[in-house]
Amino acid sequence: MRYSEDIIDQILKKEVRKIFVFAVSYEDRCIRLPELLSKLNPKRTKNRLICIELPDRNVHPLVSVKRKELKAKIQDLIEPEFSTIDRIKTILDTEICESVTKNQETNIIIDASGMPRGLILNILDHIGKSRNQFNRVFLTYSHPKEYLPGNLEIPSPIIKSLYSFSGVQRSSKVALAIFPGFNISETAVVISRVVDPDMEEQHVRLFWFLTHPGRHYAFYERSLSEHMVFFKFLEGFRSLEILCRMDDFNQIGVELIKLAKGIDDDEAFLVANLGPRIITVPILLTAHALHAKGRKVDVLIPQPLFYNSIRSRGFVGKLDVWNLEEEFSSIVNAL
Amino acid sequence: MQGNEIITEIFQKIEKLRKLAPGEKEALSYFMIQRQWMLEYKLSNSGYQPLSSIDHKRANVPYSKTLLDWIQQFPQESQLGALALGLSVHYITEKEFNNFLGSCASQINSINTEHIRRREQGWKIIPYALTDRTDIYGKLVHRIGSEGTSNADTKIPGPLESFIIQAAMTINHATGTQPLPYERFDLKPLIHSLLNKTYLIIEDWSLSGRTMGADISDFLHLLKVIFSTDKIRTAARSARFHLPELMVVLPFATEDALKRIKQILSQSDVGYSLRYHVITGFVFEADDRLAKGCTPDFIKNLSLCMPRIKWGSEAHNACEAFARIFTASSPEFAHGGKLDEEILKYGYGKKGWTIVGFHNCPDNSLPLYWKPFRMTSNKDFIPIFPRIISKVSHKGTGDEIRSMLDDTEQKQKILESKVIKVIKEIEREQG
Repeated sequence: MRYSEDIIDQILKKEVRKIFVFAVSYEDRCIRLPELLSKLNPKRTKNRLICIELPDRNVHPLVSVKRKELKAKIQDLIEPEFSTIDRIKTILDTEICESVTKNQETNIIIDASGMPRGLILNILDHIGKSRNQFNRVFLTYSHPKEYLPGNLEIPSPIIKSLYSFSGVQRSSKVALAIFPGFNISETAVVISRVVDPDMEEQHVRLFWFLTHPGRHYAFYERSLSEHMVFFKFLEGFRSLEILCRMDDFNQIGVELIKLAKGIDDDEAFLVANLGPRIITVPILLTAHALHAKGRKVDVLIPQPLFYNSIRSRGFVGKLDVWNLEEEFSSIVNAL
Repeated sequence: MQGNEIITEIFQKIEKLRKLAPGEKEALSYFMIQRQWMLEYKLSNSGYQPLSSIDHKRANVPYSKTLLDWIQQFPQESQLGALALGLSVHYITEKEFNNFLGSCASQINSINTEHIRRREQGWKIIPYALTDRTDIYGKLVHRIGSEGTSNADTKIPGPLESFIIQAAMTINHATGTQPLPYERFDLKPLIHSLLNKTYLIIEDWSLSGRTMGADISDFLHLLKVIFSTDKIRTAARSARFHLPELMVVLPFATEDALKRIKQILSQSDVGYSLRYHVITGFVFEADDRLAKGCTPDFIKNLSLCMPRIKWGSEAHNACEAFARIFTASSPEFAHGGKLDEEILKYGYGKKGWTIVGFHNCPDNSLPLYWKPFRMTSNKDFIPIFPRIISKVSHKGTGDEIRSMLDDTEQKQKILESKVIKVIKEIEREQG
């Protein structure tokens, strides 16, 4: 169930330790949570505000300038502690350990608005493995006001995976669920990495999970029309398309589980998120639930080779908030 | 069928496109082909239902072919705008409708869970379709497990219109305004059906909010007549009954429609503080249409792709040409006649939407998509998505019912004592 950002105020009022983790990106929406926190004025003794700085490589100079500008804004708003991607895991581990030794509840609030899909996967997977009964994990997300025209990222041929991609990549039977975005180059990379030309009898089935209607109906249509070339010319691979609402984690989980139940036990089940970054979360939760049941499953996230444009401007409405424990339970119930 | 050939043919027929440099032509045509493929794909998965039994030759055949035939009905100078509009259609397939509906159902279930959490025993959601032509009513009542879907002895309520008419007649009967010799006009079942209930009103969509707004107003008027006095409300509350709540469900709506509906609800005066929810599966942005200061999304993208062409003006030209052909062919409908020229150009409400549902085309969408007529040359203008008339009046249940309820207001004292008596009877029966 998706909550409105009003719940953040309630979380802040709780007499427990809170760790807010967010990232400074080149999209305005990354400052939505810092803005809210600056209004709510969280007490420093009970809370930690950690801002992840992403490496400034492989980006267009404009992207770099925009990121610096947003970092300065965040600094002005809440004066967070800045961290690197590598350090954040250590910080979280220390906090999680302390919650046990001090026997105290610690809430971890992750804001996905400024995080690339790979980072969301990394952080949440890490927390999922190390968290304990004293931790509650919440996820927040801000929608951009408008997307800007311009070049899309150039994808790297390397793909990030949750488990061991190489272990399932060369499977003779693969069911590949794709959540397409706007960038067909990313889709092409994923398909080409999964389809193995050296294997004579590899059986690959594609399942398209379309984000419908998305934040704007035009985004759904754009993703669909960009991918028409695949739908038309890879018709042999196309089994079905499934529509999913991007804010309904349970629906995404249920649809993925339905698909996983319908494929053979020896068929590798790969789920690739090339669409909205927030979808990485229900995919990750579902993959964990399936993996725990012994299913041969993996999550694939494309990696950017070069960020060459500022993708969006502004942000709209309130933050969306999810309680990940609740979401995971409802997905497990669908198994 | 690739469809590329037909776009190429269209490019050869339209002068402004013929004049483009080869590189420009290639970029623009690929952009259009992608869009045409998408519309073709949607229509092949979920055909436009009003055509399936009458005519297999329009939108349901490869869209590119339909588009070519349709464009050729416009004068040469308006064909570029017609092409842009033909590709601007937001076609909502059945699967998409179901997804919108799924979103509404889960929101309804959350509200229902909230009632259960508040321990409101016996609370029920009563779903009413706005009209008997609401196609998705059956699907929704099943999804929310409404009364009448699992128990064969009970029936699902049906259209709101019938309920309001029946209720108005019952009240008239009770106050002696128009005594009727039938048990079905007994006041007790009516009051029973209102207490501890959330009335859920569903319509397939709302683009202007006029139809939905009018029927909601009638329903609110009914509530006002029944629960307007302090004594009635006190009697209900002391018997621990909750006064009716309202839920308006629209799988999709526009920002304008939502604003209008919310305004009607927030300004309602039913004598008590009405709790209401407006539930939508999706809301279309106010500017994704062809009107002053607004441009459909696809046309905005065409302008980015090929800024040398004034795509917005071309689209308006096509609408004007359509209105001209229509009025020239049907002089009785010209200025001052039955139809306003602006409505002919931009649809009812003059909003210029480009939305088409799999089971009908809203009349607030551009008439050139849905309005068939006979041209002076004795040929028919064949629209791509001919519309089925779903509701004749946009004025709610009508003046007759409203005046019937107004008459009752004069006899409020009689109604008050009868309603209080009935509430007490229901309380006694329920222990």
